[in-house]
Amino acid sequence: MKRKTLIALLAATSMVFGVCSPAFASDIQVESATPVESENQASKVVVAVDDDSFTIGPWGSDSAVRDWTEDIIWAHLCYRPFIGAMLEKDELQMNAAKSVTKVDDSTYDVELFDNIVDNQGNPIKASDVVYSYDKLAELGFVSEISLYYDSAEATGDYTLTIKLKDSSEGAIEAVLCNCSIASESWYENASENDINSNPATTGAYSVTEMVAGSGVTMEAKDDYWKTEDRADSEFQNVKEIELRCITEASARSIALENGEIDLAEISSDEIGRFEDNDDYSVTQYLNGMSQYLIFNCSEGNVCSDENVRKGVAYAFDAYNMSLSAGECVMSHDVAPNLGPDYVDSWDDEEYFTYDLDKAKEYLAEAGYDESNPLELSFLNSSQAPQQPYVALQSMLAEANIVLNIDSQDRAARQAIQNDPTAWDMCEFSNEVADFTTGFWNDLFGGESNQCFVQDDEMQSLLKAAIADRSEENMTAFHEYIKDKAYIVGVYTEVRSIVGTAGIESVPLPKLNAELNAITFADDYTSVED
Amino acid sequence: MVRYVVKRLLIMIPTLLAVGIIMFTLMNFVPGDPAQLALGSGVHSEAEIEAKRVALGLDRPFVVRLGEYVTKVFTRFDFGKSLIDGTEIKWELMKRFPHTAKIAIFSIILTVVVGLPLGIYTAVHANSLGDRVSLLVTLLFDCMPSFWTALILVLLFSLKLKLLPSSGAKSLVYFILPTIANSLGGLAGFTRQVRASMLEVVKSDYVTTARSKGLSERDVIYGHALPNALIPILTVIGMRFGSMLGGATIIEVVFSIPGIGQYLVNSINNRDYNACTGGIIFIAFTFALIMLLTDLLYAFADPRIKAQYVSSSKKKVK
Repeated sequence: MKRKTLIALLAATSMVFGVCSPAFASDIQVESATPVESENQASKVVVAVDDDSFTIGPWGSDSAVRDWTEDIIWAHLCYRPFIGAMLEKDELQMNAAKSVTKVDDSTYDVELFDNIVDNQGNPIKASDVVYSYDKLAELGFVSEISLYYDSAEATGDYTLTIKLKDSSEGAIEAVLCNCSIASESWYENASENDINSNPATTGAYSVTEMVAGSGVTMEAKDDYWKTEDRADSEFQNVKEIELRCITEASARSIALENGEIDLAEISSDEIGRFEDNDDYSVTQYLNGMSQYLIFNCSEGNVCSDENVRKGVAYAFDAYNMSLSAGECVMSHDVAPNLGPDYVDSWDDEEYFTYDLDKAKEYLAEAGYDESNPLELSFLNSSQAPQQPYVALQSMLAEANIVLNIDSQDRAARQAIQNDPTAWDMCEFSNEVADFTTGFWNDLFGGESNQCFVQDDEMQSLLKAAIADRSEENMTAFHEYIKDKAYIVGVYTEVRSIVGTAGIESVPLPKLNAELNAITFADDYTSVED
Repeated sequence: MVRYVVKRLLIMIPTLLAVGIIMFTLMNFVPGDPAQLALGSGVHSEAEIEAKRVALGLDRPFVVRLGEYVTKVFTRFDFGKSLIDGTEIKWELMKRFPHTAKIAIFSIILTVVVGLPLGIYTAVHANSLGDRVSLLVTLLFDCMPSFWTALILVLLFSLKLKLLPSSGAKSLVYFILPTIANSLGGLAGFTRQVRASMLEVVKSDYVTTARSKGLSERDVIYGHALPNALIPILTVIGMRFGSMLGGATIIEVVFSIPGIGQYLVNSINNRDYNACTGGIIFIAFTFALIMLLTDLLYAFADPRIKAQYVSSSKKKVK
C-alpha cells in the first residue's frame, strides 16, 4: 500500500514538473562570465571549499583546493581558457611559454619568457621546465601527463622540445596546460614543510599562510614577472585570496550567512535561502559531471539482453530521479552537452522518454512479466545522495523490476565495479575534459570498457568519431549507443556558487571558479575588511 | 617507580607493533584500490591504474610492503608518505595534532570543572530535588548525539546571536563551541561516575568518624571522601582524555577543524594504507602514554598504591 502511494506521488510530481521541465532547463545559464582584468584591485576574498585534504606544492593529487589554486600560484606553459580550446586554433593562452611550434605530430618546440622568476628569486629556465615535467611524470599525479608526455629536452636557456607518447587530439593541450613549473634548485633543497607551507611559486600569487587541512591564503605578487598579455590565470583582480576548508555543506551556508566568508559553493537544498536575496549574488553553472546508468553487458548477465536494457531505460523518468538533486539538465546522450563537438540538435530529440507500456513490451520480449519479475542488483556509492536511486527503485517496481540497491563506499565501489560478476546495473558519473569523443572513449573504448561489452561495430564507430569529429560521425555513434542502450545518460547537475552582494561575477570557464578573475563592485568589502 | 615506568614503556613496543601489523593487514584486505583513488574521480584506463600502482609500489607482494613499513616505523620513526597526495605522514600528524589536543584538553578541563563539583553535590545530596534535576539534565546531555548538539550550538551562537564563529581553527575563540559540543555527552557520564564513586565513600565508616570528630562538611568531603573516591574518577578522566586525543571526528567535521580524526577518516575512505596505519599507531601511542600517566597519578591519589611501588622496589634491592 505504502509503495503504491509513493509511486502515485512520484507520478503526480512527474506530471506536474514534466510540463515545467523544459522551462527549468532553459533558465540555466551555462555560459560562463568572461574573465576581465580589473583596474581596481579588491582587498580580499574569503572562499569556502569542501575539501580538507590537499597540498599546494607544485605537484600533488587531485583536490578541490588544487583545482581552485594551482593555475594561480604556479605558472604553466599555457592556459586553457575553456573546455576544448585547441593549440592549432590559437585558442590556448600563453603563460610561461612565449610560443609553441609544432615540429611534427608528436614533437613541439617551446620558447619560454626569459624573465620568469619565482617569489624567492630563483630564475626559471628551460632546464627547470624539463625537470618539472619529468618530476610530475615520475610522481604520476596527473593522468594526462602519464598518458601523453614522453620526454622533454632543453635546447637552450629558454628553449625546449617536448615529445609526446601519443599524438591523439587534445594530447598536446593536456601536456602544455597541466604541469606546474617550479625551480629545480628550490625543490631539490626544500624540506617537505617548505614545499607545502612556503612554496617558491611561479604564478601570479604567492602563498602567505598554509594550515594543513584548514586553509590557505594567497597574495597577489606586486612584482609579478609578467606585466602584459597576461593569461586569465595571471589576472590579479583581488589582492588576497583566502581558501577556508569547510567540508560540511550546511556549515558553508551558515558561514556565509554569518559573515565569515565571502563566497562558497552551496548545495541545491540550501540555495533557496540565497536566491532572490539582495545580500547575495548567485552564479549557477552546469557541473561537467554527467550522471549515467551502466548496464553490465558481459556474457551471461541478464543485461546482455538488449530488450532488458531497453525495458529498464523506458521504465524510469530521469526528471523524477533528478528532483532531489536540485536543478538539473536532462541528458540526451551519455555525455553532458559541454564538449565543443556535442551536436546541439540531439537536445531536441527524444531520449528514453518514460513509457511504461513500451518498457513492459520490451521486458515481455525478454521473458519478464508480473509472474516472472526481473530482479537486478544495482551498485551505487553510499557517499552519494540516495534519493535519486530510491526514486528509480520505485519507478522500476511499477514495471515489475525489482532493483536491489547495493551501496558501497567510494573505494569499495570502485573495486566492485571492475568485477563483471558482482552487479547488473550501476550508476556512475564522469566529466567531459575536452571533447565528447574523449568522454565516450573513457566509457566505451577498448575491451575493458565500463559496460563490459564486446562490440566491434561500436568500436569502429567510436574510432571514426575520434578520428573525425564531423556531425555525421558523431551522430552515428550517438544513435548507435542510444539504439543499443549499453549506457543511459540521466542528468547533469546545476551547481551554485553564492557570494556576498559586492561580488559581481565569478568566471567558471573550466567548471572551477577563477578566483583571481572575479569581478567586484566598486563598493565591495570583504567580510574580513 | 622508574623501573615501573621503563617497564611500561617497553611493553608499549610490542603493543604498537601489533597495532601496526593488524592495521596494515586489515587495510590491505579491505576492498578498494588506492591507485584508482589517487587518480581521482572519473574513468581511468587499466594502463593508467597499473602505472599508478607501480608508482605507489603497490605491485610488490604484501609481505614485502608490510616488512618495509614496520621496519621504517620502528627503527626510524618514519610513517612514510601518503599514497594519495605524497605528503609525509609524520608531518601531517604533527600539524594536525595541536588542534585535536586543544579540543581534548579544553574538553577535559570543562568536564572536570563542571562534572566534579556537580557529581559531589549530587552524591552528598542524594535523592534531593537538586540531585534529581541534575540527573535528568545530564541524562538529557547523554542522549543528545554530538553532531546534533554541535549544529544546535552553531545555529544558536553563530547564526542567531552572532557571538561565535561557526567553523575553522584560527584562534582560541574558534574552539569554544567545539569544546562545549564535545564535552556535553562526556560530562553526563563523568558526573554520574563521580556521583557513584562518592556515594559509596560518603556512607563509609571513616567518613562518619570524620564527621563525629566535628570536622566541617567541606573538610569531610574534600579531605576524606574525595581522595578515596578518586581512583575510578581518574580512570574515567584518563580513558576519556586518551580517546579524545585520537580525534573527535564528528566535532572536527562539523566545525571544520583539521584534526587527527578527520585525517583518519579521509585516509580510510581513500584506502591510504600508510596514512591510516601511521595515524592509528600514533593514536595508540598517545593513548598508552595517557594511561601510563593515569596509572602514575593513582600513586599520588592513593598512598597505598605509592607504598606498593616503594615496597616492590625495596624487595628488588634486597
